[in-house]
Amino acid sequence: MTSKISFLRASLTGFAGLVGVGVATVVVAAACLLPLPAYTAVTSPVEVLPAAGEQSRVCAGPLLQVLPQVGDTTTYFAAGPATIFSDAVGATVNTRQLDAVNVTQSGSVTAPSVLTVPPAGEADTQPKLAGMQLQQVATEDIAGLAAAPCTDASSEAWLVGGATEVGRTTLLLLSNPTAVTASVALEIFGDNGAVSTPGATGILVEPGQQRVLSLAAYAPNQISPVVHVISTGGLVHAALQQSIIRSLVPGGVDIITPSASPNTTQIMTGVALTGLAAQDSGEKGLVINDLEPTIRIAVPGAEASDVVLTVIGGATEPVEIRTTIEAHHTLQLPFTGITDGVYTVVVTGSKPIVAGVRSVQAASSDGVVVVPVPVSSAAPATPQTPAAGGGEGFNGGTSGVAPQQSQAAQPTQSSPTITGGDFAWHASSLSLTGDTLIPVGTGPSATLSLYNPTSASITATLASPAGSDLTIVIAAGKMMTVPVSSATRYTLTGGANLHAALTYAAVGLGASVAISPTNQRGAAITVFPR
Amino acid sequence: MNPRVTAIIVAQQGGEHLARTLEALRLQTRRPDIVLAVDNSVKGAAKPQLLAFGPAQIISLSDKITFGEAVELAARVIPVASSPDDFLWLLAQDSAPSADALASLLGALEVSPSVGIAGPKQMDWASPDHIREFGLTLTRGGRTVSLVTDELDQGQHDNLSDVMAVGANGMLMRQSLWHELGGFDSHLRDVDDALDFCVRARLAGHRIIVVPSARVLTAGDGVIGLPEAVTVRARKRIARLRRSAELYRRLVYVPGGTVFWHWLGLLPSAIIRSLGQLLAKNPGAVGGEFRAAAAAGFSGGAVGRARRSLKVSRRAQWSSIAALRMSPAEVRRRRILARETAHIIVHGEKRPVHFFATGGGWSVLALAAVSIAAFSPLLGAANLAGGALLPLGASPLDLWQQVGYGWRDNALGVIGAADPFAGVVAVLGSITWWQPSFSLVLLWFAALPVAGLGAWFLASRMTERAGIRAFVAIAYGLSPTLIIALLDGRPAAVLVHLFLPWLFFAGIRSARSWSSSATTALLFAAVIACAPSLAPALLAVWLGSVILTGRYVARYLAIPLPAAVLFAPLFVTQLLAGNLLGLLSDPGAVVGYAVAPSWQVALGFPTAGLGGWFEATAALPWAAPAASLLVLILVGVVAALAIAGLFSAHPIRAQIALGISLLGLITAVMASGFEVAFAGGEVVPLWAGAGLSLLWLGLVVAAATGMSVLRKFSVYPAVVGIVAVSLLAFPLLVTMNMGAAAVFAGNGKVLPAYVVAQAQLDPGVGTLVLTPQPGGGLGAILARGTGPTLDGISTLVTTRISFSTEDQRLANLVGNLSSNSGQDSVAQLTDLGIGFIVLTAPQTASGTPASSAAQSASNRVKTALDSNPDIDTVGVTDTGLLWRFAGGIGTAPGAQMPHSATEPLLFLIVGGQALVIVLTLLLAIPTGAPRGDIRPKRELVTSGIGSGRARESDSAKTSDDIPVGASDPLAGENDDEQN
Repeated sequence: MTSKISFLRASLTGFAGLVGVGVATVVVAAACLLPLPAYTAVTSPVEVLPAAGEQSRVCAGPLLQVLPQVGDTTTYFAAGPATIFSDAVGATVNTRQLDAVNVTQSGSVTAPSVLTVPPAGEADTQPKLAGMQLQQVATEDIAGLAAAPCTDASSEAWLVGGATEVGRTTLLLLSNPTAVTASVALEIFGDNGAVSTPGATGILVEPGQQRVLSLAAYAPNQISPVVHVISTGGLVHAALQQSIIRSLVPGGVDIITPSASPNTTQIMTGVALTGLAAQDSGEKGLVINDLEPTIRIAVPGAEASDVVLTVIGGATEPVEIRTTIEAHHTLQLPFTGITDGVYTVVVTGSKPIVAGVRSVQAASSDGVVVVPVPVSSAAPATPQTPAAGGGEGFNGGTSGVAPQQSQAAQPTQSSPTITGGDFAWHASSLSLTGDTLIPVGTGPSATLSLYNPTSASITATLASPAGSDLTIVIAAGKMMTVPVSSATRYTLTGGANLHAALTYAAVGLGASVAISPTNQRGAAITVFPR
Repeated sequence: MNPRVTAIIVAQQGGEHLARTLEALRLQTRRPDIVLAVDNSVKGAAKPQLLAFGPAQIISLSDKITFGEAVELAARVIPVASSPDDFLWLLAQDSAPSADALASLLGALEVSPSVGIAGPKQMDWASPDHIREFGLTLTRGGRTVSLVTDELDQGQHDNLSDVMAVGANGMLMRQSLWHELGGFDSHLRDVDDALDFCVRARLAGHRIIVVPSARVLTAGDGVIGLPEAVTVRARKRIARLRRSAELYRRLVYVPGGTVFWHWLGLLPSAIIRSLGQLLAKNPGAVGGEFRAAAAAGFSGGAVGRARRSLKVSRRAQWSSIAALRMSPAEVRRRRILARETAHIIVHGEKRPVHFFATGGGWSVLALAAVSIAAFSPLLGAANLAGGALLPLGASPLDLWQQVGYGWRDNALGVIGAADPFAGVVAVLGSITWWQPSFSLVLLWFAALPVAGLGAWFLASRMTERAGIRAFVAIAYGLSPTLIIALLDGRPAAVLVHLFLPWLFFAGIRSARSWSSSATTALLFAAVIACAPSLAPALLAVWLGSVILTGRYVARYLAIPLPAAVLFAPLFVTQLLAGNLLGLLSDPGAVVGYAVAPSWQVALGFPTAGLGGWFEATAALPWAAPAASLLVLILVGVVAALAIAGLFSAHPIRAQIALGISLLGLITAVMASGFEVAFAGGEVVPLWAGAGLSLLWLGLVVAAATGMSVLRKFSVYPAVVGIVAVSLLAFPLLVTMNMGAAAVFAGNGKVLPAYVVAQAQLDPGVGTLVLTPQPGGGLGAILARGTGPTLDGISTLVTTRISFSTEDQRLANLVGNLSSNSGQDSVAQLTDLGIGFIVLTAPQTASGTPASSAAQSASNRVKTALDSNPDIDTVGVTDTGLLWRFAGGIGTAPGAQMPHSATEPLLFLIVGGQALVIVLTLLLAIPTGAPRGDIRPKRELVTSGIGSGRARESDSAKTSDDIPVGASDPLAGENDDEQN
């Protein structure tokens, strides 16, 4: 009897145990494999559109030449004024000059200009303002075409370009348009790693002043420097002016404006390459010769980065190069297997990188550059800008074209001049955010390049004051070039996420203007108050 | 003259008791001259027996009346007392007098004319050698005390003579006295009627004596006094009626001028005695206290009548009978004896735990050593930082101010309910009151041993085998989820892990004691407060307990009550905000984590990486599969033992443990899919580790059950289990020494030292903390004073899905500050009292670099603030870049909290919560008080535990009546009530 009961109990336990094992197995399997209900709270963040404030764009200023040294201080003089071409929507552009303390006055305008527009009354929208400067010189020391966008001053800038070898002059132009003294520190990376730069901190730039420094003073004999400008206190507009002299013949000049901050992707579009056939047969390794176009990349972080370089042409298949760059080092990679044309260069790194591209425009075989006559006739008679324009001065909205042309012609009166060609630095750009003003200053064969980095095609409209709207469709991952008229104020609408650059090119002349969104600090920002 | 004795016998039932009583009456050596029977039985059931006895008269009544009323009825039908030698003898159906009882009583009365009433020795019906009652008296405070209760009669009380009062059973009195005093007080229906009568007789100048040689058996049928209580409910009723009678008598006896004050004191004394009842683990008596007070306080004029009647009959001073009261020393002596008896009852059966003898000390010591080694980088730290760790408020006062309802720091501050976790933090921080934040350091080092200790005690409830207990302690102490919570800096998750074993330790015992039940309720509230995501699983366990527990379900029902009360304000707020799931959010700072795939969660790891095993084996070929397999085997050892438990001698225990374990698993897996809290703009899932603590506890307990199959060889699987778990935890244990833990020894400052120094001078100064978000947005926190604290963080703020106008205002300020803006930020900053702005490093998902959007947002803020001429750059700090706005001071209008709006709600909510928690705490505090309801008295007599001794020492009736600790403040004042 008892044995029967205990047997019954044992079987019951066994059965219950098996059921338990089964249930446990099923629950564990279900928990691991089945999609369980999930929930994600959704919040609507607060989108803050800042109240419209005064906007300003700082232009780098005229090209400078070193005054033969007298005493201990190096001073500079301007090789003539730069042409400034601007556009604004919703306000009138005002211009003021900074005080270029290192530059001796030489009669004409020698200081950098600051373009400003006041806040647009009660309007919620920020006024738009864009400008660029263009200057062509042909003196014994410097010759070539230099163009640069007028940009916002910032607390940090990455300048990819320049060289401080013999015959290469690189000037660092620091302008402080703000009301606060800026204390600038420099961090310079070279092909042998970070350059020790004693004294490159605490460079004071007083409000409303421009200071010019020679990069060679901090980093001599650098083939491929990358300069990180850090400003505390006031903001500065930083740029490099590089000029080359090869055996007494000027080999070009350009103004290098800031590239995008370190990121794992850097995009430079509008890279116009010429004369590659001659280069291609030459060296295949790293570029040490500044007669060759090159892609300069720096890894500012503390870890080496694998880098993939993709060169995308308008029609050709992309070309890829892979390499690794050590931490704090810069590297110049060549364009190989590429024919002449306009390209977009995309650099991706496993770690954040900065990048810039140098294109080279060789002089014609006789070394004589025929300075092209300004293409004012090519432009529409007098652009009919909306009522917003109509400012004063040479860069005013509606009437600014004619005086600019006359100024632009000034330095070129002694044409033709023997030069050793020209080069242009292409800074990496940021993707556009909305409607973008693209003022195209007067220069040789201006071309707007647009690159679509997204995975969907983008349709944008390029409107000119003349009224002929151009609809552009850019396929995913492709680039497109659009010839544009000089001295024309274009507006690109629907171009968000595109990368854009303006390129000027002629035989032995070249310049590039990276078009990045301006007034980024005026854009709406998402805030999560907690 | 020959004395005339009229015996009045009141019967409410016929049957054996009545038969024996009538038989005893018949056998009296001195038979009563007249026998009057009052037949108060239902449908006259007792009548045939009474008729057969043949009394002088039978008064039949169908309505049930009290003994006093029955005697009064009978007294009316007999001739009026003609001489002092006319006597009334009061008997009931169950008062069988010994043969010489009447003779002895009568003898005593006849010899001394001053004696008005004589009472017999009342013996137990079932065991006639035990005294049930032998004289009554009052304490100084007016409480009725039986002089002798439940003692074996060895003649030890036979020298007793003059007493304050005697019970009604077998009482022989002069008939004239009955009429003189107007009989029993009709308001005292069942309790103290005879006592009150005797007291009045005393005051009328009569003596009252007990006669040891007269014995009357009493069965406690409830004709005289109240029936013997067998149920809890009946015991409660008796206690209530006694208390009510005591209060009534007090109102009657006290001097006229003080009646009103005594009446006013009824309610406060009921409240205070109720607290005492809770301390005495007697929550059921609380209602009775108030009902008793109400009954005494609203007696419908009975007090007035009784006072008038007393005034008429009183001849002597109260002081004349003071000597007959029980002295306080005697009261105390009896109380101590009662407590000792109760201890024997309560603890006599308790198995000793043998903490040190069975290796508990060694297990805890081993875990403590492991803990110190594993967290050695934190040795000497005064503060912890990293992960979700924040400093606590500067003083316990600050901590406790965060509890309940009030000001919650966030954008511009919001008034709302606190997280219940704030209470847990307040308790934790009060442990190291001199520096509350230090308690976190202690918690970190104590976590492993304390978790092991809790698990060890839980195991001690199940097994006596040292090996199995050690396994449970070590396996639970080295649980991966605990160590990960420690490494990741999640104080709430750590606390949950420590609380859980104690919750079940107390919960198992809840059915047996109110103290455990209340302890369980508090731990339940604490666990839910630390991990609200555990609520569904624990409520399921609770529901199961309620369903499975039969008789003592009451002790389970209230367990979720404190948790419910603590969460109620939060519940209402979230309900109104349409964000009920926000209730599940983990309290404290919101920190994201790498969510583990479900299979890793099922293996006990809340975060991805398999507890460091992937990293540890990274150098080997086939690293990931090899590590997974190894971990699977290690966890499999424990799981296999748990499965074996299903087939052990305690399959139910294993089933329950595994069931709880599965609930924990489901909780953990679901938790990682529920994203309710926001860190800046990013949604963060619930912490999966809390569910895993439950999983691990269930698994370990089931495994322990499985080991017990091997009986004395169970030490082998225990060792295997310990080795498996130790190996499993090894990569985690070395993590901190390898420098890979999120937790580090901090300096106790969340904000830059510069700000902290300034905030000490100006505690209201605001600091805007901006954190660039991965999407390019900005997280903005407005901290006041020295910065956010663990106790100050509110889930109302962290789970908020919509923003108020105040938040929008702050957002607008932040947006404009970080922009090229035309807004006058100076006015805004001044108004809000913002003196500092900190830009922290961009927020990143764990292990990834900051996104470029975050970087550019960071640059944008820096650029905008740097170029703002009204804001001074301070520089780089540990926390981030710091700017200062000189015009921002704490006394600014926007920095003040609106006091007035908070207070009514504050008092209501905090008062209600505090009441529930304090009452639960009172109930939970182990006082060792004798528990009247531990078991019925009958069981006591027959139980094996020293039945004889128990009877002797349990001489006072106090155990049922007034538990120790229940003090009556008015009783002391009433010492002079006789004046």
